[in-house]
Amino acid sequence: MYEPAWKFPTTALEAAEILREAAGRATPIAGGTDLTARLRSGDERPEVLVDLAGIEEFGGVDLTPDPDAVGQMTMGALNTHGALARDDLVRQHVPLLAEACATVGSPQIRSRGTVGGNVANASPAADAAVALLALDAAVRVVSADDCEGDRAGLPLEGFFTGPGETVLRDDELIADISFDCPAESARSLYLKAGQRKALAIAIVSVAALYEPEAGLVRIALGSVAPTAVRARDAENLFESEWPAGDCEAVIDAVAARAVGSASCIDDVRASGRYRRILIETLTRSALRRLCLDLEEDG
Amino acid sequence: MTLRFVVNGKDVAVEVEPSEVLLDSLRRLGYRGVKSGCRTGSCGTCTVLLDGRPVPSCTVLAAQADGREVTTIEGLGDTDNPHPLQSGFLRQGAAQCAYCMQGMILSAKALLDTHPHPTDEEIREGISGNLCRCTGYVKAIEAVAELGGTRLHLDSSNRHPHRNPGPYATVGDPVEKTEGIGLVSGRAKYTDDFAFEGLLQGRIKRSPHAHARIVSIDASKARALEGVHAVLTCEDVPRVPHSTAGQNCPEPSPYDSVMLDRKVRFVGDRVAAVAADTPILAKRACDLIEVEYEMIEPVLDFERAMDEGAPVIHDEDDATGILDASRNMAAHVDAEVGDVEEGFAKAEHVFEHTYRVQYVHANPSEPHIAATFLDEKNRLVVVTSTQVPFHVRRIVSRVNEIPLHDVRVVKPRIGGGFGVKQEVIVEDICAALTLATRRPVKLSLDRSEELVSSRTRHPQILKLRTGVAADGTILAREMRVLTNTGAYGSHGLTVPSNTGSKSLPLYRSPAIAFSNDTVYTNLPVGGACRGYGAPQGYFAMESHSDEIAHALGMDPAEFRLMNAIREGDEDPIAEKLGEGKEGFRRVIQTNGLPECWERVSEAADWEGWRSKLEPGQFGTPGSFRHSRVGKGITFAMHGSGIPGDDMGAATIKANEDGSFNLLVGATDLGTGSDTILAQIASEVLGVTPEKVVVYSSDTDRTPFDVGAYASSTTYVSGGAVVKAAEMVRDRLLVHAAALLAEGPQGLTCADGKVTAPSGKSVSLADVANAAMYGEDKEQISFTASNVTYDCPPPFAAACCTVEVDTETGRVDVTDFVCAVDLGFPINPALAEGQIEGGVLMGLGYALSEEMLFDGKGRMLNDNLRDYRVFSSVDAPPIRAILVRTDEPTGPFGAKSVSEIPVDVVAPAVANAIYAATGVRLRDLPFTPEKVLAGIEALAAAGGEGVGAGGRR
Repeated sequence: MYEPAWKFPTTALEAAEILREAAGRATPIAGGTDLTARLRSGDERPEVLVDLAGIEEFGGVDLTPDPDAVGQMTMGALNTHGALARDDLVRQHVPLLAEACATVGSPQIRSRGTVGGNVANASPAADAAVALLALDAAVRVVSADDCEGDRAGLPLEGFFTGPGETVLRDDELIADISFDCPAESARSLYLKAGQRKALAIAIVSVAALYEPEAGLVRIALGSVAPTAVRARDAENLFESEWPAGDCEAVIDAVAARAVGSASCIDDVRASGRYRRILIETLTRSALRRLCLDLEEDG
Repeated sequence: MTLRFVVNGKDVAVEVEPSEVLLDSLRRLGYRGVKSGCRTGSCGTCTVLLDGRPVPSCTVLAAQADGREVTTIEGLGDTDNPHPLQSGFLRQGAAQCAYCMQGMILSAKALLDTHPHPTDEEIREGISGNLCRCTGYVKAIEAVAELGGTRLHLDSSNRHPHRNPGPYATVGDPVEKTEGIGLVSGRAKYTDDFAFEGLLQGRIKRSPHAHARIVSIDASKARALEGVHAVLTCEDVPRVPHSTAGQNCPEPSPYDSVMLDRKVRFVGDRVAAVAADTPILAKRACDLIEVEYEMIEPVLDFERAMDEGAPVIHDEDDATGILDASRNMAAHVDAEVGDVEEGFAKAEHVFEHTYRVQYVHANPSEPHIAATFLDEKNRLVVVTSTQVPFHVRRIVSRVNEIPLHDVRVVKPRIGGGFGVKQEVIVEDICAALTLATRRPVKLSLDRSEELVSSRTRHPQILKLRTGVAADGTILAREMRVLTNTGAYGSHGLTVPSNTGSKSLPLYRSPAIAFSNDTVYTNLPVGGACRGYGAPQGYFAMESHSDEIAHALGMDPAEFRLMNAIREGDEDPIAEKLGEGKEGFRRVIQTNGLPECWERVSEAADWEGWRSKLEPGQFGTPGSFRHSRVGKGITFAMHGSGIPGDDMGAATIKANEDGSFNLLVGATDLGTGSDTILAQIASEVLGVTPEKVVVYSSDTDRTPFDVGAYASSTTYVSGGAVVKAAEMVRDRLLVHAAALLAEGPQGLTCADGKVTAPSGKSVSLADVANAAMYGEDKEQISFTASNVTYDCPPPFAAACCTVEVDTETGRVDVTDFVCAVDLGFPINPALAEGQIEGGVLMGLGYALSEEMLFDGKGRMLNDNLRDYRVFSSVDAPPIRAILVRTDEPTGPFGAKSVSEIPVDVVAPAVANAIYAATGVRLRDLPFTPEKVLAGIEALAAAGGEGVGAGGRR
């Protein structure tokens, strides 16, 4: 009989201390949409379950104004996908994140699953994480030794080390995730090719952001490699070529280049070959819409 | 640990296990409206509101609900005071089996709480986490739209109030289901909702190997585990070769199954069974059973199953009815009318194409579940989610070697069946566990077991060859089929025989030939699945029809209409094929196909769309840059019951207040047949349907019925109800004559009274009361049986509109219109629900559903995340059109409706994709990847269509 002990901390410090004491025998739980499946299958059987729901400081979405820029947005790890998809600040400043959150699972899953869990789970198909990657987000991590979170600002790029694997230590918790808000003129979107429209796990997803004044794009890809990845080469190509005489040709070339950042595999959802086609197609479609305002792309 | 929370406004404290999920705590607390569907958060069946938001209670650990507020369906409203959503769902006819509906209604509630006036998209999105297998989501969306005042993009026909087409009083009315509000308020009792004292949990240990001999089983560790009450291996149970197929006796399927064998034949096959105090203990006991296997090479490619030297799957010596076990041949079918070779010789053109259909699963919302116990007389009672209670009784008795009179089978409410529950795959072994322990045992399949180890739609390869005259008249046609029945031959003869007998008669031809080989493989087992072979046949034949029409430069509709079967035609090929043996002469007495097509053509704007196309052009521009729109059509016919085989019986007894008990063996698995049968009885007896109390189905208490399959219940069992009702009515008239001192000639029974030609009348209640308490006392009660030899086919026409993304291959179905000539619609709302649900199941078959296996025969997508059933946001608007004919052999002119909608879908989608892109796909399902490959191949070949690039 599996009988985990439950802890219900109300502060980050308390939670972090529980994790330190347990020395690897405890697992934090928030929405539990993925963890319950692993508990049930027996893939994971921690001795202690640390429910984070009572930690208020892990909630909320804030925008810290900056006189020279839009500011920095910080979202507590406990924000659910549903909450972020509905959040006015998120929808206004980072539509790609709102859109990504809105495609997670189903309304039921979205009202449980949290953004912190999405990042911590490190699924290559994690929707919110792909959008956050395109936003150059950073993860603030707290532990008992470092409750203020001096390991703040761990860049999300590099945070993921493999499917389900991150740099997070057993005694660490994700407190919040933050990023510099894109300029007011920036445009962004999230495109996802799934096997159906609801309850879908991405075959390929593309989060893209275009900053017209800076003349650059940021592109992150999901379900195309062991972790969510940035298409850096493609971004660089864009920066060096844009705007050129033939904008559509630049976009075509950038989309083709994005494929190089992927290492696609065949699985039950699609072949690697089809994934590579989708990367190019979705990236092209995203950039045509963002940079050329061509809404007629599907 | 103690969980304190608020459920439906009430403070509750309950002891829970630390790893328990909320679903289990709530059900233990008695909130049985919370249903278990997949336990992975993928189907939404267990949805509850947690602090007002919908959550899957199977992935919420109970401990996490501490201090929070939970709302279950019971908290929304009850049978006395239903919530407007509950009454709305019922009124619209949204609830079929309703197993998923409790959760869906809660999702709708959460949506309306935040969006009181949702848009069409918001409604679809709001219920998108609740997968429904019975319906097309149409009526649920309409129920929510009605409350929210929402304008839907595309009205389906039932937004316009149904009018009874007449001339009857009750039949023809869209009456609400007789199960009433209980169905949408969590009160309806499914098998899992029954409580038993001292209940044990059963579990089956399953094979990890596709093909292996069991050298030894050591169950000692499992048996030693405290709380384990029985471990059964092949040593412990009778060895009785049988077929698990719930068919007429003797079954036309091979007797190639035993309860537990010394050999395993697919990954997921039975190895042993356990009964223990808890599900967790039962699982642990299964894990502790040590099995030594001797591996045998598996047969996974069904085209190689008959090869010389292929491993023999059924090498046991006691199986019977297998055609040729040494060559893995389960069955063979051969039939010919006319001389096809002569026809081909005369033909101007001969067309030949090969089509392939995949493994899919019926996947009902409620997986297989049975509970067994010994009653006070030591008789075995089986409560089970089945379509075939009487076949279950027979097979459980035979396989366990106990007398039939010691077995009672009770069918409670069923959470969907679609054929997969026309099979005895949990009851026999659950019974064995009860017989071994003398205690109640419940055995339910989890979602993975349901997908892997229950039954599937048979995969096939179909070769079609058709010879036509210059004007398009069909002169000869042959269909050659190879069928994969998996590890056991359940329905392995009759499903493929229906592949031919249901599809080939649709078009006149002087010569028709059909043949089929059914082979064994080491893969999951084929079985009955809504349509029973016909969807496979129609995908091939109606794709082929389109290919011929296009090759001849004909309008696909014109080609079909000129060759289609007509009223008065005989149907020799269906007669030849029969049901595993030669059948009965059939003459088509009613044929609404021309009207079906006329109405579909108009509703789908077929002519208007075609007029936009230049000759040879594929597709019209879609809603985005690289999309193409196309429309495809299909015709179909099906059957109504199995002629000469199906027998349904009904008993009606009169009560002294003028009400009646209707006892039927027919099994309502969510279709609404209880309601249909009540309407039929009430029409004959001249009362309103609520005066007819239906009881279905219990082998001790109701008369025999073969069960719910073969589109038979309305037609066959309904015929029995007419007969029984007429006998009861005639007897009542005798008593009425005494009271009225007139007649009984000329007396009529209507509006709850008996009226004489003179105008004198007496209420039915007074007549019934007089019969029971008056001078000549008697219990008026009659039982009637019905068998028919006619099998009148319903007809259908459909048009599917697709938008194809030519860059990704994604196919969006944007509209689906389906008209069915179902004879007389006894209940138009329920009939539409059958069409909408059948179409949606067909769309999954066409586009997204496929059981995938690795090189060792293990199913890769044995979960509802990757086995892709359509959700409400994937579902197109489905427009169902009822075309009335008056079939002289059916009750009040009715024919069937439940299976034919599945037949029309896959070919309509294939034809629409072709029309949009020029890509002809002959291999289901049409995944985006496959469609894109087709587009690329076309471009590479320089063919016409989108790939050519010049026709955008």
